[in-house]
Amino acid sequence: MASEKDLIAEIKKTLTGLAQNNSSWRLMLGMESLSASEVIQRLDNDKKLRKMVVKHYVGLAIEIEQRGRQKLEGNSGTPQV
Amino acid sequence: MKAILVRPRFDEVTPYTFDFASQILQWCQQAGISVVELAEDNAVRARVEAELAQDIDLFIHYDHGNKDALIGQDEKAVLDLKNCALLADKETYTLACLSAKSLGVEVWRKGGKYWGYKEVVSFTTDALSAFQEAFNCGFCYRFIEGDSHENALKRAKEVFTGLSFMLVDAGKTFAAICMRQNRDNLVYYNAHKPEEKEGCLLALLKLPKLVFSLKGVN
Repeated sequence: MASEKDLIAEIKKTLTGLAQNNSSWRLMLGMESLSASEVIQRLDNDKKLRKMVVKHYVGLAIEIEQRGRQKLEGNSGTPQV
Repeated sequence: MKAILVRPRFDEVTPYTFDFASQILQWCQQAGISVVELAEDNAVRARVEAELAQDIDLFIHYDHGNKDALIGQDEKAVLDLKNCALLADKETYTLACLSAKSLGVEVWRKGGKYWGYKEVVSFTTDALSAFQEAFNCGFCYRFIEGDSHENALKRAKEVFTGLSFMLVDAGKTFAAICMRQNRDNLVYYNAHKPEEKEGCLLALLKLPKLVFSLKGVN
Protein backbone atom coordinates (compact mmCIF):
# COMPACT_ATOMS: atom_id res chain seq x y z
CA MET A 1 0.00 0.00 0.00
CA ALA A 2 1.27 3.45 -0.91
CA SER A 3 2.53 5.57 1.95
CA GLU A 4 2.72 9.34 2.39
CA LYS A 5 6.38 9.05 1.37
CA ASP A 6 5.42 7.33 -1.92
CA LEU A 7 2.80 9.99 -2.60
CA ILE A 8 5.23 12.87 -2.05
CA ALA A 9 7.76 11.07 -4.26
CA GLU A 10 5.20 10.90 -7.09
CA ILE A 11 4.26 14.57 -6.68
CA LYS A 12 7.96 15.45 -6.79
CA LYS A 13 8.28 13.53 -10.08
CA THR A 14 5.46 15.63 -11.55
CA LEU A 15 7.10 18.82 -10.26
CA THR A 16 10.46 17.71 -11.70
CA GLY A 17 8.76 17.30 -15.09
CA LEU A 18 7.31 20.80 -14.73
CA ALA A 19 10.71 22.22 -13.81
CA GLN A 20 12.20 20.67 -16.97
CA ASN A 21 9.38 21.33 -19.44
CA ASN A 22 7.62 24.45 -18.18
CA SER A 23 10.19 26.74 -16.60
CA SER A 24 7.64 29.54 -16.25
CA TRP A 25 5.44 27.42 -13.91
CA ARG A 26 5.00 29.06 -10.51
CA LEU A 27 3.09 28.30 -7.35
CA MET A 28 1.69 31.45 -5.76
CA LEU A 29 1.45 30.63 -2.09
CA GLY A 30 0.26 33.66 -0.18
CA MET A 31 2.90 36.32 -0.77
CA GLU A 32 5.43 33.82 -2.13
CA SER A 33 6.10 32.89 -5.73
CA LEU A 34 7.80 29.50 -5.99
CA SER A 35 9.25 27.64 -8.98
CA ALA A 36 8.69 23.88 -9.31
CA SER A 37 12.24 23.24 -8.04
CA GLU A 38 11.60 25.45 -5.02
CA VAL A 39 8.36 23.59 -4.26
CA ILE A 40 10.27 20.27 -4.37
CA GLN A 41 12.74 21.62 -1.81
CA ARG A 42 9.94 23.00 0.34
CA LEU A 43 8.24 19.61 0.38
CA ASP A 44 11.35 18.26 2.12
CA ASN A 45 11.63 21.01 4.69
CA ASP A 46 8.17 22.50 5.21
CA LYS A 47 5.97 20.11 7.20
CA LYS A 48 2.91 22.37 6.90
CA LEU A 49 3.11 22.44 3.10
CA ARG A 50 3.68 18.67 2.93
CA LYS A 51 0.70 18.06 5.22
CA MET A 52 -1.51 20.35 3.10
CA VAL A 53 -0.49 18.62 -0.14
CA VAL A 54 -1.09 15.12 1.22
CA LYS A 55 -4.40 16.11 2.84
CA HIS A 56 -5.83 17.55 -0.38
CA TYR A 57 -4.36 14.87 -2.64
CA VAL A 58 -6.09 12.18 -0.56
CA GLY A 59 -9.23 14.34 -0.34
CA LEU A 60 -9.29 14.64 -4.13
CA ALA A 61 -8.94 10.87 -4.50
CA ILE A 62 -11.90 10.35 -2.17
CA GLU A 63 -14.05 12.88 -4.06
CA ILE A 64 -13.13 11.34 -7.42
CA GLU A 65 -14.20 7.93 -6.09
CA GLN A 66 -17.48 9.43 -4.79
CA ARG A 67 -18.09 11.09 -8.14
CA GLY A 68 -17.49 7.79 -9.93
CA ARG A 69 -19.92 5.97 -7.66
CA GLN A 70 -22.57 8.66 -8.14
CA LYS A 71 -22.18 8.35 -11.90
CA LEU A 72 -22.62 4.58 -11.67
CA GLU A 73 -25.67 4.90 -9.44
CA GLY A 74 -27.10 7.54 -11.74
CA ASN A 75 -26.74 5.22 -14.72
CA SER A 76 -28.14 2.14 -13.00
CA GLY A 77 -31.75 3.35 -12.78
CA THR A 78 -34.43 1.75 -14.95
CA PRO A 79 -35.20 4.04 -17.89
CA GLN A 80 -38.69 5.46 -17.78
CA VAL A 81 -40.91 4.49 -20.69
CA MET B 1 -25.48 49.68 -5.54
CA LYS B 2 -22.13 51.42 -4.95
CA ALA B 3 -18.83 49.60 -4.57
CA ILE B 4 -15.14 50.20 -3.91
CA LEU B 5 -12.59 47.99 -5.63
CA VAL B 6 -9.14 48.02 -4.03
CA ARG B 7 -6.42 46.31 -6.05
CA PRO B 8 -2.74 46.93 -5.35
CA ARG B 9 -0.01 45.66 -7.66
CA PHE B 10 3.49 45.55 -6.21
CA ASP B 11 5.07 42.06 -6.16
CA GLU B 12 5.15 38.81 -8.15
CA VAL B 13 1.68 37.70 -6.99
CA THR B 14 -0.44 40.86 -7.24
CA PRO B 15 -0.20 41.31 -11.05
CA TYR B 16 -2.22 38.08 -11.33
CA THR B 17 -4.83 39.07 -8.76
CA PHE B 18 -4.97 42.56 -10.27
CA ASP B 19 -5.97 40.89 -13.55
CA PHE B 20 -8.49 38.59 -11.81
CA ALA B 21 -10.17 41.72 -10.43
CA SER B 22 -10.53 43.20 -13.93
CA GLN B 23 -13.36 40.73 -14.58
CA ILE B 24 -15.13 41.89 -11.41
CA LEU B 25 -14.82 45.49 -12.58
CA GLN B 26 -16.19 44.58 -16.01
CA TRP B 27 -19.17 42.72 -14.49
CA CYS B 28 -19.96 45.69 -12.25
CA GLN B 29 -19.89 48.09 -15.19
CA GLN B 30 -22.18 45.80 -17.20
CA ALA B 31 -24.59 45.38 -14.28
CA GLY B 32 -24.77 49.10 -13.51
CA ILE B 33 -22.94 48.83 -10.17
CA SER B 34 -21.13 52.11 -9.57
CA VAL B 35 -17.48 51.36 -8.72
CA VAL B 36 -14.80 53.57 -7.20
CA GLU B 37 -11.56 51.90 -8.25
CA LEU B 38 -8.61 52.34 -5.90
CA ALA B 39 -5.78 50.71 -7.87
CA GLU B 40 -2.03 50.67 -7.23
CA ASP B 41 -0.93 54.00 -5.65
CA ASN B 42 -4.54 54.80 -4.72
CA ALA B 43 -4.89 51.52 -2.84
CA VAL B 44 -3.83 52.97 0.50
CA ARG B 45 -5.48 53.34 3.89
CA ALA B 46 -6.31 57.08 3.74
CA ARG B 47 -8.07 56.73 0.38
CA VAL B 48 -9.94 53.60 1.47
CA GLU B 49 -11.12 55.22 4.71
CA ALA B 50 -12.24 58.36 2.86
CA GLU B 51 -14.22 56.38 0.30
CA LEU B 52 -15.77 54.06 2.89
CA ALA B 53 -17.06 57.10 4.76
CA GLN B 54 -19.29 57.76 1.72
CA ASP B 55 -22.47 55.86 0.92
CA ILE B 56 -20.93 52.50 -0.07
CA ASP B 57 -22.65 49.11 -0.09
CA LEU B 58 -19.87 46.78 -1.18
CA PHE B 59 -16.12 46.62 -0.50
CA ILE B 60 -14.00 44.50 -2.85
CA HIS B 61 -10.33 43.80 -2.14
CA TYR B 62 -7.89 41.85 -4.35
CA ASP B 63 -5.34 40.84 -2.77
CA HIS B 64 -2.82 40.23 0.06
CA GLY B 65 -3.92 39.98 3.64
CA ASN B 66 -3.28 38.39 6.98
CA LYS B 67 -5.59 37.28 9.76
CA ASP B 68 -6.08 40.83 11.04
CA ALA B 69 -5.73 43.01 7.94
CA LEU B 70 -6.16 43.66 4.22
CA ILE B 71 -2.98 45.02 2.64
CA GLY B 72 -2.56 48.00 0.31
CA GLN B 73 -0.03 49.22 -2.24
CA ASP B 74 2.41 50.42 0.45
CA GLU B 75 2.27 46.92 2.02
CA LYS B 76 0.50 48.42 5.03
CA ALA B 77 -3.03 47.65 6.18
CA VAL B 78 -5.84 49.45 4.40
CA LEU B 79 -8.26 47.80 6.79
CA ASP B 80 -7.55 46.12 10.10
CA LEU B 81 -9.13 45.55 13.48
CA LYS B 82 -8.81 49.27 14.31
CA ASN B 83 -10.84 50.65 11.40
CA CYS B 84 -12.96 47.65 10.41
CA ALA B 85 -16.08 49.30 11.83
CA LEU B 86 -16.12 51.05 8.44
CA LEU B 87 -17.30 47.71 7.02
CA ALA B 88 -20.24 47.37 9.41
CA ASP B 89 -23.51 46.91 7.50
CA LYS B 90 -21.57 46.47 4.25
CA GLU B 91 -20.72 43.49 2.08
CA THR B 92 -17.02 42.62 1.76
CA TYR B 93 -15.67 40.38 -1.01
CA THR B 94 -11.97 39.59 -0.81
CA LEU B 95 -9.42 37.14 -2.17
CA ALA B 96 -6.91 37.97 0.57
CA CYS B 97 -5.18 35.21 2.50
CA LEU B 98 -6.23 34.46 6.06
CA SER B 99 -8.37 37.56 6.59
CA ALA B 100 -11.55 35.63 7.40
CA LYS B 101 -9.79 34.14 10.40
CA SER B 102 -9.98 37.25 12.56
CA LEU B 103 -10.79 40.40 10.57
CA GLY B 104 -13.77 38.77 8.87
CA VAL B 105 -15.16 37.58 12.20
CA GLU B 106 -14.83 41.08 13.64
CA VAL B 107 -16.56 42.61 10.62
CA TRP B 108 -19.35 40.04 10.99
CA ARG B 109 -19.70 40.90 14.70
CA LYS B 110 -20.18 44.52 13.68
CA GLY B 111 -23.00 43.60 11.32
CA GLY B 112 -21.05 43.27 8.07
CA LYS B 113 -21.06 40.35 5.66
CA TYR B 114 -17.70 38.89 4.73
CA TRP B 115 -16.61 36.68 1.82
CA GLY B 116 -13.02 35.57 2.38
CA TYR B 117 -10.49 32.85 3.14
CA LYS B 118 -9.44 31.46 6.52
CA GLU B 119 -6.01 30.25 5.39
CA VAL B 120 -3.34 31.07 2.80
CA VAL B 121 -4.74 31.30 -0.74
CA SER B 122 -2.72 29.53 -3.43
CA PHE B 123 -2.81 29.14 -7.20
CA THR B 124 -0.56 27.94 -9.98
CA THR B 125 0.27 29.71 -13.23
CA ASP B 126 -0.66 26.72 -15.41
CA ALA B 127 -4.36 27.16 -14.61
CA LEU B 128 -4.94 30.90 -14.26
CA SER B 129 -8.30 30.97 -16.04
CA ALA B 130 -9.63 28.21 -13.78
CA PHE B 131 -8.49 30.05 -10.66
CA GLN B 132 -9.98 33.32 -11.92
CA GLU B 133 -13.28 31.53 -12.49
CA ALA B 134 -13.21 30.03 -9.00
CA PHE B 135 -12.19 33.24 -7.19
CA ASN B 136 -14.73 35.42 -9.03
CA CYS B 137 -17.78 33.19 -9.47
CA GLY B 138 -19.18 33.90 -6.01
CA PHE B 139 -19.24 37.59 -6.83
CA CYS B 140 -21.27 36.89 -9.94
CA TYR B 141 -23.75 34.67 -8.08
CA ARG B 142 -24.27 37.11 -5.20
CA PHE B 143 -23.99 40.58 -6.73
CA ILE B 144 -24.72 40.16 -10.43
CA GLU B 145 -27.35 37.41 -10.29
CA GLY B 146 -28.59 38.44 -6.83
CA ASP B 147 -28.58 34.93 -5.37
CA SER B 148 -28.77 34.48 -1.58
CA HIS B 149 -25.65 34.38 0.63
CA GLU B 150 -26.12 30.67 1.27
CA ASN B 151 -26.68 29.74 -2.39
CA ALA B 152 -23.81 31.91 -3.63
CA LEU B 153 -21.40 30.15 -1.28
CA LYS B 154 -22.78 26.69 -2.07
CA ARG B 155 -22.63 27.26 -5.82
CA ALA B 156 -19.12 28.72 -5.61
CA LYS B 157 -17.86 25.71 -3.66
CA GLU B 158 -19.37 23.44 -6.33
CA VAL B 159 -17.44 25.40 -8.96
CA PHE B 160 -14.18 24.90 -7.01
CA THR B 161 -14.93 21.16 -6.80
CA GLY B 162 -15.78 20.85 -10.49
CA LEU B 163 -12.65 22.76 -11.48
CA SER B 164 -10.46 20.57 -9.24
CA PHE B 165 -11.78 17.46 -11.08
CA MET B 166 -11.17 19.17 -14.42
CA LEU B 167 -7.59 19.99 -13.38
CA VAL B 168 -6.95 16.39 -12.34
CA ASP B 169 -8.23 15.23 -15.73
CA ALA B 170 -5.87 17.73 -17.39
CA GLY B 171 -2.91 16.33 -15.43
CA LYS B 172 -2.58 19.52 -13.35
CA THR B 173 -2.68 17.83 -9.98
CA PHE B 174 -0.87 20.54 -8.04
CA ALA B 175 -3.36 23.11 -9.33
CA ALA B 176 -6.17 20.76 -8.27
CA ILE B 177 -4.69 20.52 -4.77
CA CYS B 178 -4.60 24.34 -4.51
CA MET B 179 -8.16 24.59 -5.84
CA ARG B 180 -9.43 22.17 -3.20
CA GLN B 181 -7.53 23.91 -0.41
CA ASN B 182 -9.01 27.29 -1.41
CA ARG B 183 -12.49 25.77 -1.51
CA ASP B 184 -12.17 24.40 2.01
CA ASN B 185 -10.93 27.74 3.37
CA LEU B 186 -13.59 29.87 1.71
CA VAL B 187 -16.23 31.29 4.06
CA TYR B 188 -19.11 33.71 3.82
CA TYR B 189 -20.21 35.30 7.05
CA ASN B 190 -23.27 35.58 7.19
CA ALA B 191 -24.19 32.64 5.03
CA HIS B 192 -22.95 30.81 8.13
CA LYS B 193 -21.56 31.89 11.49
CA PRO B 194 -17.83 31.83 12.18
CA GLU B 195 -16.76 28.66 13.98
CA GLU B 196 -16.75 29.52 17.66
CA LYS B 197 -13.83 28.41 19.74
CA GLU B 198 -15.35 27.62 23.09
CA GLY B 199 -13.09 28.10 26.06
CA CYS B 200 -13.77 26.55 29.45
CA LEU B 201 -15.39 29.74 30.76
CA LEU B 202 -17.86 29.94 27.88
CA ALA B 203 -18.73 26.26 28.30
CA LEU B 204 -19.34 26.84 32.03
CA LEU B 205 -21.61 29.78 31.26
CA LYS B 206 -23.66 27.55 28.99
CA LEU B 207 -23.88 24.73 31.55
CA PRO B 208 -27.06 25.93 33.35
CA LYS B 209 -28.87 26.16 30.00
CA LEU B 210 -27.73 22.62 29.15
CA VAL B 211 -28.88 21.23 32.52
CA PHE B 212 -32.22 23.00 32.15
CA SER B 213 -32.75 21.59 28.66
CA LEU B 214 -31.89 18.06 29.86
CA LYS B 215 -34.42 18.40 32.72
CA GLY B 216 -36.96 19.40 30.12
CA VAL B 217 -36.25 16.19 28.17
CA ASN B 218 -36.72 14.04 31.27
